[in-house]
Amino acid sequence: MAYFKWGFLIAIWSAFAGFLHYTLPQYDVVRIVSTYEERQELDNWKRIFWSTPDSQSQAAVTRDVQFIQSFRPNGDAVVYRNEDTGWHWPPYFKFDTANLYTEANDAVSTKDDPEWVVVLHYGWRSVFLSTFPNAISISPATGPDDKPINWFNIIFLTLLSALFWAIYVRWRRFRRNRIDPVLEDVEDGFYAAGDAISEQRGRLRRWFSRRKG
Amino acid sequence: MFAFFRLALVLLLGLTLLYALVSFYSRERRRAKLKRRWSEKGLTGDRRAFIQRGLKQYDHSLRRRSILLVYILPLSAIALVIYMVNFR
Repeated sequence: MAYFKWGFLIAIWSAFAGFLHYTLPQYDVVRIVSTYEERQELDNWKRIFWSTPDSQSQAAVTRDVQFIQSFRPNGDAVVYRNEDTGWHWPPYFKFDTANLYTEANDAVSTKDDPEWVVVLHYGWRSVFLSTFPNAISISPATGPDDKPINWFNIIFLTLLSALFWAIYVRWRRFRRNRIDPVLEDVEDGFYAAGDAISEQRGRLRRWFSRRKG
Repeated sequence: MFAFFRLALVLLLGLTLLYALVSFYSRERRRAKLKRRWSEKGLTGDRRAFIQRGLKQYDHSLRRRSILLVYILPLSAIALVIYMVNFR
């Protein structure tokens, strides 16, 4: 039972942590190499890793998506998708996809003369599922060693843990004052009933053994 | 545009529910405080009138008006995000 409980708790909290990691913004320092558009089939469950554009029919199963190709300072390739989030989840309210595409094209640079930029993005890159993080904004970096501080995540996660702590403390207090006494009452009742039953059984057994003897 | 109206509806319903809960909770807390003050100070006279007067003062207080922040804060946060993401 304890294994089941802990397994359940760990599963729930890892799903929640994964959700936060997917949704919250992150910074990358990269060098943009190129941009391209590619038609995507969006007719299966992987649809959840792509945005829902407002301007198109919800029933459309294929559409063109813009991509931004880039390299990290350590040489790893990173590919972003560039899509409006609009009024949908996650709440980035990004409407300037075409502008961002223009900025990305403006920031294209070569290996010999690199121009480092900070790309704000959310989402996951999975080579197996062909999912891409969505780029939100591009701003100039001071250099390949630039490390932007993610103030939003620091504040957001602090407030979120404060909220959870407040709920947890109140729930524990509520349980101690209201639920535990009731449970103890019920338990006492069970023990009393159990004692009565075993007493009855003992009497019955004695009666049987007298018969046999 | 449909998505915008859906978001507006969800926000309106959610924030209104939150507003109702917070204002009810805050008013009941003020009522409990007035009752406590009555018994602590050993006041005499019309207890109900005392509490009613206190609640009427509460209805005009800054504290009650500040519950409107339930609407103002999320909506300005959205406006700020829209500005930061699209126009900067």
